[in-house]
Amino acid sequence: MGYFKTLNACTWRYLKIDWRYKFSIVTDAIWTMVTVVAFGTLGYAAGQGNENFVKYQGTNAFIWILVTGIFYWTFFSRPFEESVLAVPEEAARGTLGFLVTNQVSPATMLTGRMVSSVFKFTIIAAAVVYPVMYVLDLRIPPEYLLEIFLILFISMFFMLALVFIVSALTLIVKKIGVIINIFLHSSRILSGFYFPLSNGKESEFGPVAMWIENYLPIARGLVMIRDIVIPEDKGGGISHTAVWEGLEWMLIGTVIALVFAFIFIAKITDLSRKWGTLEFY
Amino acid sequence: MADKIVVADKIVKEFKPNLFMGEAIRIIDGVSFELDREESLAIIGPNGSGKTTLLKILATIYLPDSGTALIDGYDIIKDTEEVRNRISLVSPALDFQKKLTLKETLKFFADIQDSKIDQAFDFLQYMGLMPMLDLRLETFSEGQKAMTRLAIGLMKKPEILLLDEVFATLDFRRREHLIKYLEDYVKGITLIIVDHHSEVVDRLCTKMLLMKRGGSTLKIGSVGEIFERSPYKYDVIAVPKKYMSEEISEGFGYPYMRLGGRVRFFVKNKEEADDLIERMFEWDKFVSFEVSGVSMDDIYWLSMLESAEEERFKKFCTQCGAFIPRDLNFCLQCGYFLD
Ligand SMILES: Nc1ncnc2c1ncn2[C@@H]1O[C@H](COP(=O)(O)OP(=O)(O)OP(=O)(O)O)[C@@H](O)[C@H]1O
Ligand SMILES: [Mg+2]
Repeated sequence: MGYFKTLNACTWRYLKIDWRYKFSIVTDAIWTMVTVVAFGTLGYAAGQGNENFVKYQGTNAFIWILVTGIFYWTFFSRPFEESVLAVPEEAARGTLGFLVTNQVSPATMLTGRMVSSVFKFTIIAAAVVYPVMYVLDLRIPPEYLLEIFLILFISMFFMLALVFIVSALTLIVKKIGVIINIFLHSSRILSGFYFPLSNGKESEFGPVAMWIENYLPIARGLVMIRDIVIPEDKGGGISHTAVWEGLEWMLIGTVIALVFAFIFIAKITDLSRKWGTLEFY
Repeated sequence: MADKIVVADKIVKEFKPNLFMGEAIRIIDGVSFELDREESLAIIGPNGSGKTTLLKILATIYLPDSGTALIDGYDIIKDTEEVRNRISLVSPALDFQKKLTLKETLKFFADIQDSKIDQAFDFLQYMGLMPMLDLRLETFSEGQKAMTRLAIGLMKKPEILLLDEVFATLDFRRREHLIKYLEDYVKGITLIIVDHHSEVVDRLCTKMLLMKRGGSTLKIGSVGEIFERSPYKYDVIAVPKKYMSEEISEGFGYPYMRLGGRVRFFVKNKEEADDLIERMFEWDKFVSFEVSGVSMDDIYWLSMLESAEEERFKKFCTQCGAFIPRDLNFCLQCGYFLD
């Protein structure tokens, strides 16, 4: 089918390009390492004498929260940025206009960019973040490997929906740097990266926090990953059935987000053909 | 199959320099033209007259604000898919990922266009680019990139090929070479080109659309017609022994233009040419004369002059009222000589 052929072409193109800019792979890996150190020390400091700070127990609990958060977000933070930035880059290069005259949606190109970028960061997550987790007693049990993979896979598509929406905005508003960060940090906060949402259960925002944790795919995904990797005797542990149920909700949320985002970017692409912003800088 | 391959009907396009405020500026102002199959069109006009914008509208990158065009009977607004299957736009705005090789680049664009890269080999072979297949685009010169763009456009085997200034960065030899290739190639297809070289227009196009600033049509017609319409059929190039002042040049009573040290007079017929040369002989201050028929080059040049002229320099023919470019002292419409 034509769609997969073009998607494949876009993905391979970006994989090749990323591979040839080896230096930026190195800087991305270093950047990830720095993040781990920064949040690790924060978690360590905050965890001292504060054992019931979060849902999980022990002095390491807050480090665990942050490091698993970094693990999860390593797959999506930079890929999100790289994908959104691909639009102005490719527009300036004339590729976007070319795609449009050939009946290929910018969304296809973005999917290719996202997939190849997530691939690159999977390697970085495995090589840089997972060893740190291992040292901290955070392990992925082999029987949960498929589930972890699916959680990450579905999360990627949810983030892709966000990429579509923000990229659509870059077709109209050209200076997009801050907007990218607003979206990225908001979604990290909402996913419970810095602080688990369930900690706010008792507060007046409790119901909202719990709703987000259940139905926002990236929030549910991160909670499940934490429960899988954090030892059972310290408050972790989750049954396969619970994970599969979570995956179903993630899937539903992601499909809704993707459909909305797809329509949004298609509409904005048409508008930018009218306004002349599609290729013009 | 529609009767006409392209029918453009009163296309209008406006852009707002800032999306959220200010006035829209009209870039294309009601352009219409028709092309039969195997006819080819040159769009000519000064910088900023909207030539590229017009091509992008035909290529469905931009939507017109009003008016439309039919490509092989399909509407560029409503039937985008059908239109996109038939056209290929070669735009100098297309740039490449410089870390990819020529082959990888072609492969990517082939997949996007649903074509095959060997469909470009013929052309690459002809232009001598085959040995570069495994080199990265970062090592390519501008001319070689221009050829790559063209290879991508041709690979799609379009029915209508839109070329935006593809000759601009080519050296003389390559340009000749490419014209020859396209002369053969265009036999089966329709070509719409924007180009500033008269020989390209002369050899590849049967029709001309002259645009002026503000995006409106100045002239449209077959190359022959526009040629015919010019009142001046011959020119006399004179090389004076020393600098010839404006007054002396004007004294001969024929329109002229200066070309470095030489002066070029325009005359309507052989008799006028003879008259001019006779008087020059009498004056005895010339090294040589050369009489020739006005070429496509001149028509192109005169037309460009006419369409580029800015509002404030406008002057009009006292005989027929037509607008006369600042650099000329004769009317392009009726041939009347202003003195
Ligand atoms: N997408 C756009 N948004 C806003 N203005 C635009 C856009 N595209 C073109 N313009 C403006 O429209 C005018 C015509 O541009 P266009 O590129 O069509 O001219 P052109 O005839 O191709 O000129 P050149 O000979 O220099 O290539 C220019 O003033 C340009 O700034
Ligand atoms: Mg142009």
